[in-house]
Amino acid sequence: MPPTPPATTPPGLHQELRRRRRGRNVALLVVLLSVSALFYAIALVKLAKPEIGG
Amino acid sequence: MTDTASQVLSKAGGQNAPLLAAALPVADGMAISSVGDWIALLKPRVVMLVVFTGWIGMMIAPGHLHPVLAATAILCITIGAGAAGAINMWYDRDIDLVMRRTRNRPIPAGRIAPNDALAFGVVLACASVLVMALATNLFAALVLAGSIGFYVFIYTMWLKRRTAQNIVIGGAAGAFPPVIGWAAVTGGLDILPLLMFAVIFFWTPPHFWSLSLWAHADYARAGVPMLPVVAGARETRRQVFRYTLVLAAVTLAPWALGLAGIIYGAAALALGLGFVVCAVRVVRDRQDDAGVSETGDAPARAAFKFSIAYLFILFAALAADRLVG
Repeated sequence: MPPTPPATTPPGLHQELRRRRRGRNVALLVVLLSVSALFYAIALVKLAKPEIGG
Repeated sequence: MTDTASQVLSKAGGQNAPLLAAALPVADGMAISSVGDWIALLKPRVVMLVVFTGWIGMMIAPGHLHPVLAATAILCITIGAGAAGAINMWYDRDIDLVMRRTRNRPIPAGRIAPNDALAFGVVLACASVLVMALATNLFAALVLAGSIGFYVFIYTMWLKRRTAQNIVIGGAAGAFPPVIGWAAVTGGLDILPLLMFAVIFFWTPPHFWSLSLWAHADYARAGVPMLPVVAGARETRRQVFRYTLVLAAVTLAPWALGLAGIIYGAAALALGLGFVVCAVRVVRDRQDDAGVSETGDAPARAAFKFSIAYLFILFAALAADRLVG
């Protein structure tokens, strides 16, 4: 579970932390989707021409 | 209070990060890190040169690799090099905190927890090797693993803090990418990729020692035995000159052995002469009795800048030679 700022955290800080967490989550989503697409592309190429790339 | 803290946050990634960490009593590194911090762990500027030389190694190799697999191989080289950089930052976090040049990195600045950085680096390193093996061949994956291991264990953990020759031997880690690129296409090795390895190997000392001539105060503060710290600036300038001569000779070998054409030969000759001229200026820099530069190390700064362009142009010439020939 991600760390949650305490109630005493100033609102400005809280907003910024949320923005950063959201940025990291979006980046992770993009990475996971990209890795899935990459594996799919590698599989397609390998299945089509198994001799390429040794 | 709120406005000030927000301003501090907005600058995070800069010099106020430790202040930010202190302003958030319960926040760990994960709470305040941004995507940019995680990218910074991968040392993107260093990785650029690695990617370029790896790509050239792939371009000049005989044979064909499907564009998807070639792009994957480049991605693996990029991620592998970045992962090694992340593990390096984890290990060097104590000296990074002391050095002005590195104290704003994500770990010493408190934006990323050391263990998180280590896990990030190890996972990426393993993933890059695994995907390289799946996409190209086992040999290329093994060379990639060897280069990561060399940088982490031989350079970072063993040599860097023990000997002034750290850069000479450790420089081999940065010389692997063209070999990996070649291996990804061919599944083997040949003389040309080994010569490219040698070029980067002999390029690293004059490149890095030129930098350390004006950045040695940082290394001295951190207790890292870089050559200017151990042997003095005067001896470092002489070593820059000697290694530049060796480099200029080595770069001519591919052309002399008939492995590269006239485009590369002419480029190697002209660039070699240019680098030697830079090195002569470094040696003849106006200095006091202790070897301290009286010009603010202007020749060393010029040599450092030239060395970066040097490697890019030299390898581009090799690729151009192959394309034309």
